[in-house]
Amino acid sequence: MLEVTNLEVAAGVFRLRGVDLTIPESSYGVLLGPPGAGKSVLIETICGLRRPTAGRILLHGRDIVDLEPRDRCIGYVPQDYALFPTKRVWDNVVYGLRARGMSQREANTEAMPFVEMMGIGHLLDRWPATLSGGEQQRVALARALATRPRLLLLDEPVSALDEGSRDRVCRDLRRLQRNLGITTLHISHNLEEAFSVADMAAVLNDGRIVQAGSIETLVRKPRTAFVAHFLRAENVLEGTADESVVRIGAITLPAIGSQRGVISCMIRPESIGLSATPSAAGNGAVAVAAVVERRTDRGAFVRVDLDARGVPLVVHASHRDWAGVRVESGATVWALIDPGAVHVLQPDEPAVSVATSLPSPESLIAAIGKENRDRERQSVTAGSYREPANA
Amino acid sequence: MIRLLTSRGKPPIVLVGFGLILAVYAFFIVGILIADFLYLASVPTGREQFVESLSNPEVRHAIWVSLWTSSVSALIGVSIAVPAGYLLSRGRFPGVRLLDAIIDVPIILPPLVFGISLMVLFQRTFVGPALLAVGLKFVHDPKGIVLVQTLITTAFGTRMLKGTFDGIDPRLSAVAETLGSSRTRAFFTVTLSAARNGVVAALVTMWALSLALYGPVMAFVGATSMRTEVMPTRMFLEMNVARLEAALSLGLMMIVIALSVLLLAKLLGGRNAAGVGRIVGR
Repeated sequence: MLEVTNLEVAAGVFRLRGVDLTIPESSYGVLLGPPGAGKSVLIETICGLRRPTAGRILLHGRDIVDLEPRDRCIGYVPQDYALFPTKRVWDNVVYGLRARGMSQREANTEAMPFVEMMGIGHLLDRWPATLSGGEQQRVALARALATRPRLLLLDEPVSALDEGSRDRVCRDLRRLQRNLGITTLHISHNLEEAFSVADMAAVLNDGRIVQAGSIETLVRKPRTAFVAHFLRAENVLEGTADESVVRIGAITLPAIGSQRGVISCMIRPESIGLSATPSAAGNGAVAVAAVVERRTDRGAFVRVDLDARGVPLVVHASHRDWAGVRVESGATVWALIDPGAVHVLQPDEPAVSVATSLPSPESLIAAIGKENRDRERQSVTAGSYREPANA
Repeated sequence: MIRLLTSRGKPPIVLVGFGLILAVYAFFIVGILIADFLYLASVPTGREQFVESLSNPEVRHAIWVSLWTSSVSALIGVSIAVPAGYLLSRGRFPGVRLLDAIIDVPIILPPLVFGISLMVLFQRTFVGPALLAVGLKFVHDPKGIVLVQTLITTAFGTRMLKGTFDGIDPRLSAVAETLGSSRTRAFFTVTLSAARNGVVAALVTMWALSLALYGPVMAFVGATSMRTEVMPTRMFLEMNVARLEAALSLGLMMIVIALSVLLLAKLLGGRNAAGVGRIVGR
């Protein structure tokens, strides 16, 4: 198990601030975040290439902060794989074993299972420069695994691969991790990657963990507007709340949660119903008149883009529900919003204007960085968010 | 890259232009070598002078002194330039930029000025007498040739190796450390191994520069025949007394020696010999 507690790292002008992260034993964790969030700094600190200014890193209960990288028993595969260019594939694979004092014969025996596992037996005499991206990755994995590490750190392991190979490699990584039972932390800025491999995930932004938990929790209950946007959530809206109602543009809903003033909230597109008449609203649902702007058949569901009197809404309707209201673009339908399905986002993130598309990482970083400067540090552990004292 | 581009048909105009520039430059290099040879072959006294130079004990001694001092200087120089280049490339400590600037001084200083300044340091300060007291004589001694050559050419080697280390991904040694290697072992087995073309190139460059130095050598150790005279100083002195054929004879010998060493370096460079040539050429 990997436990990172209140970790502070200075890397030039960049800072990791109060990072708490837990990857349970034999789990596959994914660290998500936009470019520049500090993912690589965190992973380099865990494997001992950077020294933290505060905090602890526990690997299977032992604090490894003061250990040299060679004593941490961590397998590290950097983004570009960093194969040693002047050593053939075989010498790359056995490098760690030889560095640990094994004879050539012992190293060969020890490394062979991983050579077979990664299917690189035919590459052993090749120079790294002659390998494809996928081959380099398999060699780098075999090299990292040959030393029998207790933790595997993968820094954007599929980013150098072509689109078509990524899914397959992610499945292979997941299968490999399950077979070996090795605790793994995989860095990515790609949501699909996380979905395909992760037992749990954490979102890092501007040097701090914004949220951690299961992928399902992150997607269904993002803590902040940043997380919601980063995970490409639809219907992340801004409104105002008072004691009795929440107003999102022209939409008025009963009061939700305890927040007052300007709030951000998210309505999952599959939780919004569609009806030809407002009378279909039941169980406290609010019916909102909206104009159909576009309809797209997405196979399992129909995506309907609505304009609810200035508020853009996206609805993922089942084919059966859509059949009940089937109208042309420009026609009016009723969006049925259950107030219980409205998820209020934490207010400690920047005000994000009504938007349904993913903003650029740069704009998010700039906006959140500005807001965060005066904000009390918050931290999360895997699966459980610790509320700030004043929340 | 050129092969790829030309394989698509007509080469781009920019490559044709580059090719012309390279051809003109190569013409002058080959031209001077051929001109030397033809001149010596055509002048009646040329061939006699060449044979006489080869059999002259003073010339043979100058060749020997040039060869051993250049070789020793290059070896000492590269053993300084490797750590210095690495430190300037990867070092993050106060004063690193100042040190970086100091390294450039022997490069920008006219060599003769460097030799005279070294003479002043050794003869007008405590440095020379102090070293003499422990039995190290440099002024007017062959050891002084090595000192001058090393001090000047190491700057070039350091600059080259800093560039080499700049081009090597620091993550290579970082990964080596996570695999179980000590920092020292990671340096020697990964970083230095990746830098080996640069090291060979720096060694060859320092050797060639040492072989060609004469101004600062004359200023610091003089040109005593059968003692501190090296080939370039002898050539310079022959030119001063208008013995062009004698100077050219020595020049041709130096060309043959230098080309032989370059060829040897390329052979030793093995599969990466082209890289050595590229770096040396730069």
